[in-house]
Amino acid sequence: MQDRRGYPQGSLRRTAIGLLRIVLFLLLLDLCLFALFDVLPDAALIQTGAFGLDPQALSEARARMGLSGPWYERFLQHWSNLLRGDLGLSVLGGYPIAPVLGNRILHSLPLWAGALVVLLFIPIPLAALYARRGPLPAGLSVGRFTATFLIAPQFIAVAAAYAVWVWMFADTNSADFTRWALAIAGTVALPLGVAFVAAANTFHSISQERFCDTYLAIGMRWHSVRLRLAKNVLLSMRSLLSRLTLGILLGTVFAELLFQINGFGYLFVEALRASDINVMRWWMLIAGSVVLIITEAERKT
Amino acid sequence: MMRRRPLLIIALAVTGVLLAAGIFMRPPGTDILRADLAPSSSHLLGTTPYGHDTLLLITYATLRSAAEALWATLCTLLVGSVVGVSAALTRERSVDRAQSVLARLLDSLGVFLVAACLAAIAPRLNPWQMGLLLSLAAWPTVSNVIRSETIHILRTEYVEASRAVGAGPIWIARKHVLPAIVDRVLPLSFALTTGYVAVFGGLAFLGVGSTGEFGLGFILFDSHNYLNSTPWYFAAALGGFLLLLLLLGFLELTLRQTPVQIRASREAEHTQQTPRVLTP
Repeated sequence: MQDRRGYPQGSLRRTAIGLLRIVLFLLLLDLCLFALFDVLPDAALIQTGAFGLDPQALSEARARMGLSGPWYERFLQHWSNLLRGDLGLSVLGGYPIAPVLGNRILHSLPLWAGALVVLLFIPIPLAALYARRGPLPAGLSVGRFTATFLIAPQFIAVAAAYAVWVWMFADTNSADFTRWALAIAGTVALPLGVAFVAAANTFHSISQERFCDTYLAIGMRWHSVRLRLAKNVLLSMRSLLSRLTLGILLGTVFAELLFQINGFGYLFVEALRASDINVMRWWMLIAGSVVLIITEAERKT
Repeated sequence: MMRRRPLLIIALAVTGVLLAAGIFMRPPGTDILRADLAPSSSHLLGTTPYGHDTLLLITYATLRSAAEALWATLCTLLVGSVVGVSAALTRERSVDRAQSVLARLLDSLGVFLVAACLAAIAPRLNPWQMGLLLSLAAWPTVSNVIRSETIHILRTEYVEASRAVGAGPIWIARKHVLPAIVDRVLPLSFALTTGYVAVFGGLAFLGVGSTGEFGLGFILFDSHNYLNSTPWYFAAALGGFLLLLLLLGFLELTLRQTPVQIRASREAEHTQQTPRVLTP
């Protein structure tokens, strides 16, 4: 069997082309980030907000940040450093970036693991419970309408989760456990809302298909039909994976800021507040690469 | 088109009011002697720890957030339209392919992360300048819609018929392409505004850029320090944000039609009408 481009399905060549494509996109992403952090600051308009800045001060600041010299030399230097596993030094603290990034990722792992568990086990079963045949009853329609609106910005969800912790759990014995639980809730709130609404809509539209009539006609119960539909819904949600990943990464930034977790997200906040462009750049490259790889892998499957 | 869409007029009026109020309203004054007052008849939502009337402060911050987001949306619509129409006219060629690759790269980073980095690199950019710059990162949302709609419209039978009877490209753009694009882009623009409220709010929440002390996001972040002493400060900030998002969401919902509904209504409309330009 061949795919639409004429390659045998699952062939080594097809996989190699897919991988090459991902590598090419990653290179382009790196080039975009290079432009954002190394070339754009060169424009006085961007760096000074269109108001004049002393050119002497600007060139001194750029030299201090390691941004002196022509742009192509800096780009080649960046790649030679990357191939040697050297991510450079933080502009602010002068510390090597690679070990700090690794350490911070370890601190964020519980948040991400919790978010993944929530995303795997809550939205689809909840949407399956919610699924009905025919027009939705008014109560459920209102539920879906509300859920659509509750896909609020993540910092609102995180702030609400933090308020719940302060008001209800901060002085209890379970303060540490609830802090993590609510941090996970804040991190995952937006992806959870998106996944639930998408799954509920997919369940609703699939349940109107004629094969569901057939299942019911041969005597299957509605909950068994829903169980079968869950697989279709899970498959149809692949296209959301990259969005959900980006949502979790963003949620980590806000949750770690409020809940004071010294992880990957908080590192980004520190870098932003100190304009530490080296750390920002690597953070963006890691986050963008993860999302890009998931997007491309999903497109290939 | 306006006569047939009263909701559109209402949506545009609300937008205009929000924009004007956000631009011209002045920040409320502060009086440290009346700090931390609980809600009462003279201060319906109490006062903040800095002596602002909470209701006035939140109203000002909400309107300002809405105005900044609307400005960024207008910039994005402009950039997205130019890119979308260019891509549609050169489909499957270099411009179209380049915009597709760029759109995918920008999509992988997300507008918020790009905005955060821009705000950190250039902390002196004000929200209006930031809105202009952000439109360079968020255009794919608009350009993809405009590209697909323009390509579809240019292939329809009624456009072919108009061409056959001698209608020029400007007439076709004005009578067929523009109304179809407006129908798709208007609800999208409110969704974009909601997104920008979140982006600017998020920036202020993280404390980057020059959104200032009157940004709704900053107020929300600041209020978490006073959750026990002045809980109304936090509740008002949260409520202001949710109200603004609900309003924008409602406007989007009232204007939203699926592409199939829009195309069906336009095709029905055009099959009943003869093009006015009949000069062969």
